[in-house]
Amino acid sequence: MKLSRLSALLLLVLAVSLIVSACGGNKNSGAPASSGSAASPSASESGSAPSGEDKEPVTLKISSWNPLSQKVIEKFEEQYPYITVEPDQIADQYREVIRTRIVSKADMDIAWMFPNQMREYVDQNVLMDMSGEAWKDNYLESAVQLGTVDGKTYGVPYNYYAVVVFYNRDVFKNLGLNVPTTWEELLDVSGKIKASGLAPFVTGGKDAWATQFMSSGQFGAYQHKDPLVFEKLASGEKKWTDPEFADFFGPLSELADKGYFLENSVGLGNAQVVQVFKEGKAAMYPMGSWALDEFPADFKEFEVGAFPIPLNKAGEPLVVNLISDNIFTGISWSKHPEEVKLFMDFIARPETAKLWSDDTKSAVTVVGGTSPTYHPIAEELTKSIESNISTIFPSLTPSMEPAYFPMLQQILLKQKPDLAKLMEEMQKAQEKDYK
Amino acid sequence: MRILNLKTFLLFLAPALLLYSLFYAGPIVSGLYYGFTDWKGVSFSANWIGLDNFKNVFSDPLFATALRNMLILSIVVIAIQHAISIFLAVLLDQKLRGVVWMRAVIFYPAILNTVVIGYIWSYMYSPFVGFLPKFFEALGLETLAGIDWLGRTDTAIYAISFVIIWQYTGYSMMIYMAGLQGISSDIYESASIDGANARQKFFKITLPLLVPAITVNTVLSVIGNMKQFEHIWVMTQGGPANSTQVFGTLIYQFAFKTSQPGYGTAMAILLSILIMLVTVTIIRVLNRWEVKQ
Repeated sequence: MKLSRLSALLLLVLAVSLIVSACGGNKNSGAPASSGSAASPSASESGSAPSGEDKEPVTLKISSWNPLSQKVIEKFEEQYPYITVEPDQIADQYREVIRTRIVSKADMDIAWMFPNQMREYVDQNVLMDMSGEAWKDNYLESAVQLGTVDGKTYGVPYNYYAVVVFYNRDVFKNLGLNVPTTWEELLDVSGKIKASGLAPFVTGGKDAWATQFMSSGQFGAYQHKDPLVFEKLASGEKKWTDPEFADFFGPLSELADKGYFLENSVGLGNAQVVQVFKEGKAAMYPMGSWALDEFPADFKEFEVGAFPIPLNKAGEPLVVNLISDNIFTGISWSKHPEEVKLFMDFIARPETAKLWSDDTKSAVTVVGGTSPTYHPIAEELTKSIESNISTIFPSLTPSMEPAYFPMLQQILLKQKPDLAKLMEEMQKAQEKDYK
Repeated sequence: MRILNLKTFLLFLAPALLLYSLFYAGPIVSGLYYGFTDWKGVSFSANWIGLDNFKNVFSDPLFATALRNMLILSIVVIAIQHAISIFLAVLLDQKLRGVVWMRAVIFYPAILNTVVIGYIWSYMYSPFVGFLPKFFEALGLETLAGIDWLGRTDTAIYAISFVIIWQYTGYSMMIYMAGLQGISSDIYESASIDGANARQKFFKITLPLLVPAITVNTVLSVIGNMKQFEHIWVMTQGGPANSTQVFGTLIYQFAFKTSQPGYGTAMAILLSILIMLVTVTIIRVLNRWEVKQ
């Protein structure tokens, strides 16, 4: 009995110490959320000299969904030897992973954000206010606008892409077709391709986002008419049921009803679609220009080209839709706010941007920062983008995509949904996100 | 002495109880709470909105789709998978050559990773690169070869069911074999003496005495299919046109994609209640059928 009392006591001590240490650990990891911001001013005071010879080593964590430019990171570390950049690529489910980290106030310094995450995270004080930084002037104005919420700048999107139609130049040459610049011309070209026995278009359906460009391609035109159109939609001032949006699904639905999409392709994921296009089973593939990666210099099956999607009727201007969504933001509880700013300043330099552009094979929002040689067809594409009007699309509010994408699938499946009813459903989804 | 023992028990219980409440009971209770709020998922502030989330769930057309798909999955999978696995269990319970090897082959899909299986089957079904169209073509079944199984609203959910059946048949077969081995050979012997044929033996002896194994298997499948997520997410992501949405994919979508975790949580609560009700009903019904040896 004595023994049991002793052992019980021992167990109690053990259990209590375990619990206490576990809770203590929790508190420590939870604390920087509040104490981090308090500690940061002192850190920035001591770190005001940028040269930093005898600085404590600092590790900057940068979260992104695409790989960062390794060459730019090396250059940055060369210039600031005391800083080590720790790239943290989350290729899949980025939004969800980053949300979990933000909720748990994980150790973060810099993170990419999608444009439609900005307002929410600004409201929750997650992002560092960088309104006062001089580098803002180096970027395209529309890019800075995308990182600005209620007049304060919290970041800037870095790469930009254009919404285009990739096409098989060999097919166009053989049939004697020109690159279309209006909707009517596109229909004409598609009709001739179909008559030749080839499917004009291929687009998947499993990755629903990849099917959106024939309708999302109109966002540019909407924005060109009214630069604040998406803010107005998000606040309820405009409605998706308004007559100006009535033809939103029109182009996709017309192509689908005329049978211009490859048969039996709704179950395909985007990777399979690319494969099918590369095998020459369809002549055109609407996608963002990031898919240039799929056609490296050694791709020899056919000559590939790209043109901005002409959703404009004859007489209307062709507005190129640019997508720029990787907004570099600083996290407000970062332990190294000074170094975050150093990095932001570094990437805003045109020579850094060019290096990045070449390395990541895409255009960059830094003015004069896009390398003309990032891809064999880069120059042609850049020219056709610059010769037209272009706008950066700020992305829809969070509830929109889950409602919008399945509608595209309905159209592709030729279920012939009532398009006006679809716009009503778009509006219903929008209302969930009213501010 | 008795009181002291009780204290000792409690002390031994404390660490496990504490961990359990920290990692299970706590989240369950807070989940219940968030189901009644408009929580956006980032801040800790949430407004109490009463039963609004639940009302919205019932008026959401996707709820009906999820319910329908859950029924299809449960019924199709259970009916076919269990018929096949009982048949295989009886077959492979014989003393035949190579029987161990065959059991292993049939069981093998159950140990593969579900995500890997999903990707493999997405390619198998694909009308352009897949194995299935080539297979049907070789058989001369041109119409079947041209079907985009995962890309049609009327076939996608059944195509997915087939994969689930393929994956888990071996698993339920193993449980049935364990059940078969528990049936005393004396019963079969006396039945033979009474002149029973193989069919009579199966329906009058094997099947009734397998009911406990059927109960276990059915409950496992029902729960598995009701909370289905992985197969669907990998193969169709709930598409095309929402035709394969189930509760799992909807909850994920609302909780993580659209910043409505309160709504997602409400749906999860409803799903839990539904699973509990169905499971209890199945166990009650099947228990009544059970025969004592």
